[in-house]
Amino acid sequence: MLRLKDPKTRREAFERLVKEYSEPLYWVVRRIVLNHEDANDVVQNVFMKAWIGLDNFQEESRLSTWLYRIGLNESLDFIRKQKNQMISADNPDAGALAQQLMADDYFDGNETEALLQEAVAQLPDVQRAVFTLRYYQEMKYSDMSKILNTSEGALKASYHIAVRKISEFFKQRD
Amino acid sequence: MIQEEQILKEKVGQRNCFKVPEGYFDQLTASVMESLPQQEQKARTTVLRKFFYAAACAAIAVLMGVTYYFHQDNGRVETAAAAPESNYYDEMSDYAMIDNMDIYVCMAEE
Repeated sequence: MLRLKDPKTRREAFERLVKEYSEPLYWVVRRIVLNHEDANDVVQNVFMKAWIGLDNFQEESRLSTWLYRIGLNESLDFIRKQKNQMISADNPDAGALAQQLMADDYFDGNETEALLQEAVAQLPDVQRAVFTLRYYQEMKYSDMSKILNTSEGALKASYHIAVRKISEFFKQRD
Repeated sequence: MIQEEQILKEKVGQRNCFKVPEGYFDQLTASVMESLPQQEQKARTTVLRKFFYAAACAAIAVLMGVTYYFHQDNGRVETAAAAPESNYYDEMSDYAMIDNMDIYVCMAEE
């Protein structure tokens, strides 16, 4: 952390930070925004914000927690803007996410796996983030609590509700 | 683990179905670092900010000096303003068409 605060060594230290966290951060972002190009843009923004905000980092949390927090906020902001654009464009294909994913070169899942992504995309934003962190990355609730600044109890409740909704989604399809 | 979660994992699994272009992560760090602003820009901004602060302090000091100077002048103006008051009795006596001495005698008798 001292090397990040020192202007002489800041850039080199930040590069090591990027090297260590860029890939895990990418996957957190990608599972929310779904598209590779969008995930790349969001990750670039995350590190830009982290670089500019280094002096404001108060060291109350770990660097990784801080980065993931920026990453999740940027991802959720992105999908909110995307939803607004789809609503304003009155896009009739807005509900065919599974089909879009199946056609995506950077998605190699089967139809069921694509439908799961469609079900997750229909969740409220924070529930979506909680589900992806817990289901795919099996992140501990204690770590999630620090990132999202929410109690573990609230996160567990959010996850259980998300699982129930997704189960209902599949029951309706069967 | 809750039952519904177990069913979901058995039905869908937890596989990462998302892919990235070949070599993407190998070039990601370099790509991020290239897009970051140079540190010197921040230093230049700091110097400019210090200059503006110094200029602002100098301007305030000059303003205070000028205000003080004119306040001292105003003292003399205020003294001069007291002078017309002595003319008040002269005007009064003119209006009443009586001599000042008569006014003073009248006031002394009261």
